[in-house]
Amino acid sequence: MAFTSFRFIVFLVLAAAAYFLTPKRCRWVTLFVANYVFYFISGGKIFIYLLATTITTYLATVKIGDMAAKNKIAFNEAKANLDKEGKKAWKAAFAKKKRRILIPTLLFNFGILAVLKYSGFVTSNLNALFAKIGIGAELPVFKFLLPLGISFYTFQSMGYLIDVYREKQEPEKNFFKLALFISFFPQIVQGPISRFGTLAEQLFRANEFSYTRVKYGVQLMLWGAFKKMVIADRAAVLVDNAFGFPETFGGTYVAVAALVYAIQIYGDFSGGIDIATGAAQIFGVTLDKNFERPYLATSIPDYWRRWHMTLGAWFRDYVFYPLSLSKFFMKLGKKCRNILGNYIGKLIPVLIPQFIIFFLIGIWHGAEWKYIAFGCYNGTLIVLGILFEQPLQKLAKKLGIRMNCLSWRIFQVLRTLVLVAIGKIITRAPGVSAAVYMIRSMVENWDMDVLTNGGLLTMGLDGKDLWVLFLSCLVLLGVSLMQESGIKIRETLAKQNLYFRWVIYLGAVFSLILFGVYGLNYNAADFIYRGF
Amino acid sequence: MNKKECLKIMVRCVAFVVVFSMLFSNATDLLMRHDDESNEIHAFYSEPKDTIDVLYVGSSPLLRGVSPMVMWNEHGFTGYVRASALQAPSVSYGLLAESLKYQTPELVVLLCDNIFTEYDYVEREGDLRRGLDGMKMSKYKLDIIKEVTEADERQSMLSYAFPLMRYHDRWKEINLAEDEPEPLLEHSFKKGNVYLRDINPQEYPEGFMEPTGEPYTFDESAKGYIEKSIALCKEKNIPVLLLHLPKMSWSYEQSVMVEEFAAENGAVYLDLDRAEYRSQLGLDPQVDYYDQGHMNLTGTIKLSDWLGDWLDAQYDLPDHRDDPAISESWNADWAEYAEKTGLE
Amino acid sequence: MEALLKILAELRPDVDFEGNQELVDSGELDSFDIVSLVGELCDEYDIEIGADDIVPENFNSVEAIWALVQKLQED
Repeated sequence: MAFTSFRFIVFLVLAAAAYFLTPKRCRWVTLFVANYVFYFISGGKIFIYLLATTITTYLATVKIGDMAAKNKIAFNEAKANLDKEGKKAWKAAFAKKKRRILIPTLLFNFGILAVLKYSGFVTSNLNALFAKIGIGAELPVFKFLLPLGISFYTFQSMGYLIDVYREKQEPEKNFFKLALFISFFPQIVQGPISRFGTLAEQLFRANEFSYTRVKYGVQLMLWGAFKKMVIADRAAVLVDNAFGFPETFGGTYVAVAALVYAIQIYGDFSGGIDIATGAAQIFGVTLDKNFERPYLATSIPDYWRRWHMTLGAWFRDYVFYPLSLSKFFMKLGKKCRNILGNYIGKLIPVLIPQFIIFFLIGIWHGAEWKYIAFGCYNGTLIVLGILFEQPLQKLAKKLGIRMNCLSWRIFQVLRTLVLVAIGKIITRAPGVSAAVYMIRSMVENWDMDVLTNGGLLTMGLDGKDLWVLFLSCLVLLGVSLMQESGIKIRETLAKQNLYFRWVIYLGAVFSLILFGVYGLNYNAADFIYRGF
Repeated sequence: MNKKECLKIMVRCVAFVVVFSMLFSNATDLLMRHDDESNEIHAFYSEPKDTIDVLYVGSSPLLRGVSPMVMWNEHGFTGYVRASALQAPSVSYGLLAESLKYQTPELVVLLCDNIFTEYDYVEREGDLRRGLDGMKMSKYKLDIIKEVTEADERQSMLSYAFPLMRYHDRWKEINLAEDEPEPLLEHSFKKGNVYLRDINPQEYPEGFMEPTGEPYTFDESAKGYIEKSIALCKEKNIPVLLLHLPKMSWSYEQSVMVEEFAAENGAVYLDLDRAEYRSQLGLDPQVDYYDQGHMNLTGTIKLSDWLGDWLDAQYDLPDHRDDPAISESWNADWAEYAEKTGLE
Repeated sequence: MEALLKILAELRPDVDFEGNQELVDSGELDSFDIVSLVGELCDEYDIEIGADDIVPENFNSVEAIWALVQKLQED
């Protein structure tokens, strides 16, 4: 069920009505039922996978919770007789015990994800390798149907499991409540990836109906639909064309296509998130922010802080910190300091895990070499950025470049955007070699005439569509700049007089109806991130 | 939230919906494709209840070839043609069933050449819309849409219920400065007869309507809908005439098959390509045809002239010329029709 | 506390630590800073800071960092 389909609107209205008509005590039950109905009619006949994740998470967390409770009592009794070393040993022993539950559960769930998503990639590459080195064997290549939102709910439930393991989170004893947390329908399709600590309570309590909140929710959904249907789906026509025929569209066309693709994927993904967030808001649930105007970022790390924030935070808390604070990297850092000097040595425990994370984020996007290349590209940029940060600052000082001014900020934003757009070429091109070809041709055959000689019109969108795309991007930019300077759009709008508000609302609705790309002649591009 | 505030919000919501609906319908009128067929099919609703004596449903030969106005002028019985180019049998059935909610005609005339062809919903969206866009929403329309969307999953229920969803892209085509919202036609003086003026001389193919022994088969779905149509009329005690209008690509075998089919279903069959009627009609292939399967205006007038006589003789149709409740508006329409066609 | 402030000043000379109550939440300390800081703290105070201690509440202010160090020293 696509977020911009009529069916979704109908489902949402029915689910919201059912929720607010249910007696307060049972509202969470209604929400739970709605989630499973949604999952089922979205083609989730394979929801056995969702169930498997829910059950294993439930059993593991309840068990760890039990162990922790017993351990606490035992520890308090024994504490008096233990010295510092003894306490340490006790803790280490208990952590080891907990890990006996944690590790198999993690392996099982990420294992499902890995098998479903990556087994085809691994086996087909192994087969290619076998053929090259002359081994006659051929492994069967399976293509699995990916359950809806599997990456998102797996990350969300495993994050919760680790929180319980770290004893930061009391385990949920009610199985159905846990199932509700893992399957909340607005966010299961494409995130944001939520934490138990912030989301669960909002789902379990009985939220009151609030006109203002519902209104804000609907407004956010409209804005999301605008970004997706008017901007992203229109941009998709040009992008599909340009990336489909790299030989035809070389040089400057690549730059245009990369920029438009950057707009497309942002409109599509953040639009979907806005729809999800707005839908959740109707039920009185506030979801975590997933985007913060990423294309206004001043550096690559800044970009990754603003793009798909909940995924970045997940990797930071559950992979980056454990890795970089692990004994191995701490020791490595000390050693490197002796060899490479203080500055670089200190950075080693940061840089290597950081690179690993971007490798993982690359793979997370899909089982293809280009995503691995994308991960390495970003990892390399970040590492270089850190390594050269101080030397470059010194250089700028020497050259007398002022850095705390608007022009410098604009320069930073544009520089980041260019680097980001090159990364997007890697992910959107048909393969790694095509990406390299396109980037090379962009550098070698630069020709500004294309922008004025009507060449743009050959890319798949006619002049009128290009105008709509351009103007709607200006609206997006305007809104983004307002938000960046701290203006709350919906609150500000609510303070305007009725006529102005209605003009805006009706304008928004009709720009969707008239300028949205939907219906027969267009391939209503499904949310790009959905299968991830 | 107190009661007063609650009321205020509700009033606002209702007002918003009203304003939205007005704009939506305006936008629909502006962006919708306006076919003559949709207009004529829509104008049918303005005919007062139970004032139509003969109802014609079917494909384009009816649209181009049968003029109820000519028959009114000569015999005083009323008629309405709800026809559209390449009308799907399912659409014909829906139009008939829907029409019978508004009118109780003395006779139903069905054009059923399409009983031999399999209707391809995927290829014929334009023709489907020509038939459906002028139709009000009803159970019958929904049934047709359901059949269409089941056969072609690219098409959506919503786009038939709200044509703006289908035509929204036409902001590119139209001239916003000049084009004005144009609602569907409310009243038609043509009564569904969209005549064409061009003359394209035709020639009968060699051995036209002579037996060749070539086999033909009915399309099961089309046949089913025509059977359903006949059964529906029977249920309402309305006689059914299966009509075939002149068409150069017709054959003796097809004619015989439809005749037998009509007999089996208790309907009368009138085939104007049979030699006996051809001589009576006196159509001149050099001047009366628009193309090989459609009359032009002169052909329409000749054909309607003859058909009016025949229908009046066969079915003893009423003469409303002395009934002011009907004749007032029909005479006015005739005046306009006569002026436009140059009849008088 | 003195030593802690010195470490912080060395780490990020551009940030005014004293009085700031949302070092992490406002984004002034990012994950790289945290990891570097943790390394320094472990050396300086001979403690072990694990990934589960890395929550914003423990790093949002100088006082919070100091409290964390003291807690871990006691353990």
